[in-house]
Amino acid sequence: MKDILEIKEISYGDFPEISGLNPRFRPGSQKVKMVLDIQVPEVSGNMDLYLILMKLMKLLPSLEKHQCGEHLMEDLKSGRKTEGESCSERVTDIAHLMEHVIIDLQSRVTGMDSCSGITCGYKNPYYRFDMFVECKDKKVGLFSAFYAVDLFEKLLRNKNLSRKYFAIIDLAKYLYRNKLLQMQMGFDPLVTRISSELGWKKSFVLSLLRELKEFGLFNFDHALVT
Amino acid sequence: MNDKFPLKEPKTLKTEMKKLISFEEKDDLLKSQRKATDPMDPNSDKNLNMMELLSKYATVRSCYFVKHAEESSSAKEIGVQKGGFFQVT
Repeated sequence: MKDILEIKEISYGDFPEISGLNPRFRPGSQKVKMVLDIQVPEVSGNMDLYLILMKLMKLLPSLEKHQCGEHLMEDLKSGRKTEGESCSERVTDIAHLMEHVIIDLQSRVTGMDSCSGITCGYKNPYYRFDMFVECKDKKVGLFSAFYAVDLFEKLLRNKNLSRKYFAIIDLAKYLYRNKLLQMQMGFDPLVTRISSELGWKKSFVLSLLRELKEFGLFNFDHALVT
Repeated sequence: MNDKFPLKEPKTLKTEMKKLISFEEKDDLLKSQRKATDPMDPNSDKNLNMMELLSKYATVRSCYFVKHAEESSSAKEIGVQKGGFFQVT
């Protein structure tokens, strides 16, 4: 089955050329940039953005407190976003919602007090977006972008979120706040430590760490010796 | 900017993730070489770039999240919760 979401490019830097597009961007702040295509299948009449938002709120309750120039979440909750939306509007809403998720993950994992972002929709093709989100940590920025894409691939297919999605965020936060992302630590000692401290089964921890590795949270050069 | 990873055929997300983990960072040298820009000067590099960008985009949406003071302090106190999950209140 073809993916709905396709990452075309991902990079990291301060991108001064876009700083004027959101006055909330802190001068010189580092950002993750993701170029993403969102190609929603034509047979997607049952793609309910309100339902997706409700699932997201369970995963990331602080989404409700985000400030948004477009009042996206209020509009979704109140039903002002209807099925009559054009395909272009719909994919723009999806991209914008993803940006909120990436912002929330930055704050949740690294404890950033504020985080800003922009989502820019291309004129052509209409389904391509540049997203820029401030980051405190490059690896967390990368992780957040990949996690959001994986998450939305699931949500856009009307799937429910397994425990894994909740636990991955908790584990990313645990690893970041305990400074375990840079540590040169073998796989087994790390699994044992996490399992012991979080009370999770080793097999569960192992599966989560593998996911996190795929999401780019570890430095491949020296972390997680498998 | 041209697409760096044009995909000719559908590939799985995770395959692409592995490929994309060759993560680019603008280094200090590039930063130091960047010209100082005057926000009011339409000919400055920064503003030309922004004009170029805006001509590429159909929509620009912005948003932000600010933690309230009490949330920031409680977030710092979050610890390990055995057998459960972290929760930011």
